[in-house]
Amino acid sequence: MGSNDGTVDALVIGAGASGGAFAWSLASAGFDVMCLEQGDWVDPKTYTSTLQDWEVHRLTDFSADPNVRAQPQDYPVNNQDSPIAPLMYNAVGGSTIHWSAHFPRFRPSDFRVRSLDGVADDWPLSYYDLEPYFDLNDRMIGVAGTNGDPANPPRSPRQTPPVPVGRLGEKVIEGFDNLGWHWWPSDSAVLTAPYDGRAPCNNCGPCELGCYRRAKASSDVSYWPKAIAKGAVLKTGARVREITVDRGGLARGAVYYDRGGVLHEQKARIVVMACNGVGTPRILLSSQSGRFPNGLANDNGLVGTHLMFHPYAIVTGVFDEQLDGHKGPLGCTIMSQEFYETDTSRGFIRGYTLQVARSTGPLSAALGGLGAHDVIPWGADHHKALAERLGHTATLCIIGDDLPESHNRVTLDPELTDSDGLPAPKISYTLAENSRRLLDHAIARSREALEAAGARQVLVNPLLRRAGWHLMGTARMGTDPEKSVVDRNGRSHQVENLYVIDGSILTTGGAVNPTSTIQALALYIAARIRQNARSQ
Amino acid sequence: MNDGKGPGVLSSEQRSLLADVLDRIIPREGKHPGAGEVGVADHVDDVLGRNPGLRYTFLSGLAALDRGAKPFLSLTTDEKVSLLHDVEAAHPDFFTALVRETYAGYYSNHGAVEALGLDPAPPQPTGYVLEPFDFALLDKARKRGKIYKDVSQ
Repeated sequence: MGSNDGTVDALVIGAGASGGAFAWSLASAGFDVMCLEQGDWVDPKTYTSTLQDWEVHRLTDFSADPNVRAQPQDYPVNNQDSPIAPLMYNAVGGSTIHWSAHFPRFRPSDFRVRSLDGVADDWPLSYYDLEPYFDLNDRMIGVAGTNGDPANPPRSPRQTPPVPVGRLGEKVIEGFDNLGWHWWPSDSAVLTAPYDGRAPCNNCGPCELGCYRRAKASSDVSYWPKAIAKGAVLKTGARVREITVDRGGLARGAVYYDRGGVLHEQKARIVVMACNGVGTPRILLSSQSGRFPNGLANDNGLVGTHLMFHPYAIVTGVFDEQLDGHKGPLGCTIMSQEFYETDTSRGFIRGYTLQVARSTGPLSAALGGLGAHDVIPWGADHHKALAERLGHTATLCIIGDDLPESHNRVTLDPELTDSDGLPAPKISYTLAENSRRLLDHAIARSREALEAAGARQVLVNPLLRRAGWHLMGTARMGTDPEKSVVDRNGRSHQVENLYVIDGSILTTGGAVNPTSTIQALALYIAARIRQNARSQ
Repeated sequence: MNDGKGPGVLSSEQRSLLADVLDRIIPREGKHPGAGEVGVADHVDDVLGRNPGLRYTFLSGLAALDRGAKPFLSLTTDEKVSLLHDVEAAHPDFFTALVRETYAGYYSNHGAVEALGLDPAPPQPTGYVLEPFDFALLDKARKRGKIYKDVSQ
């Protein structure tokens, strides 16, 4: 084991969405911050969107599925016991590298699910507790959008105008307007005008291949340069094996492998987990000691439980008109929250967002489009079938509230390991009956909207397998130490200098993409730590 | 043998067979070239060189095409297509991989994409024009009024 390099104030594990925001906040306040990240920096100029075979990279070495990508910095995930495969990226920027940057906020009712609907749990904080941090986060990264959305509380002016909707968006809007349903331009973490030294989007399309222009606010281009300028130290190629504890049961630091496989221990006054809803429980469960034989901060056995995804159904309309769906950010156009709040007459609790997605290039279309609906046939009919599909589709992605259930969980796989021999996570997940009814309702409404927009055919994937973008709930936040892992300040109930700041702490999953809420929470938790330090 | 891009695994006989098969998977039609004629065999050879697991499946599948009374290359076009349908049913793993890799190689080809009427350049660095957002679209949506459930602060 290498030598200790001095105790830092805060050791952050993971350099993704939450880690970047948190490190910037604490470093700005003069804390001595270090971050350990198993991946590397990615140079935006090396993204595969410049290559002729760019669509192939999305399916292979730039897949969002770590099992497909299988790069040395990735860890495999045993997803055989789950209908949904977790997706993630390991690099400075984390999963914001391949993220589509759709940036809605959780709504006030999402924080009060138990009080309003009698299910799951209320959060120990409210939308309004987080509101200043949502606004701060938006200013830090630059958000395209416009305020005035009738489906959300008023919010601060957006930094740049909304992403243009294109012909595809106009078509879908016709459908929503014909039905009198809500829609609004999506808040998007994609610049549409220069902001903070970054260039605007040039409408190229595949945000999920990484943003060549740095218009998308992945945390490697938004937060990390600022955090480092404030003194934060970011160590890449540093793969954490476990969080160590001292004799008093406090976190002592982290033991990690460097690129050469050499073990080091870094000591810290506080340890902050920011490894996503799969990576964080994986490390906590691996951190076994005499004091914590079942894993760190896991006396109540809750670490890894209550895993939530947003189970995705994908509904695609095929139109006679050419919609040019390959132009413009894939996941950022408009969304409808007509069916967001609970209406028990629909046969399920809570609700969903319809996120309008564009189409993409010819290979994706030939292989069945975003929903992998059906592969275009080979042979004599191929060219005609593709011509009818390519650019003629618009897709509604259904993001439904997935209520927390204790049997949906992350455990350690007894055999599978990463390249350093560390146990891989195993996912056990079943789709809840409420989620299935919600998706079926949303599929029927999506069909209605697309037909109202003029679709001549509607294709449905009732449950997309490779859709585990949102990894949530596995170190849940709550007031009761028996029923949760961290408190309202992100601090472990059992280890007073251990914090969790990533999607693991979400008490419920909401029905929107979670990144803005995760980053607002990270900034909120950092602010509480700063406040405590001042008052001592 | 794949133009030096990687450790090719196919013999020249296998490549000739494969190129002909590729022209049946995506045939020449009008302005669209066939997959074999634009060199998708290079892509397949490259993939097989990097993926030993797929190699066995693929080579067994190709061998199955030549197992009939007549070699594949000496069949008529209709006979070839008919045989491919038989192999698709009998060797689904091979065939799924064959179709996927044919599409992957073909739609990464400049000429094949250009024939679709698309700009064949990759998305970056040129991109497309980012038009200004049309705020007039929002007129109807704005009139809706508050639809979210508020809760106590």
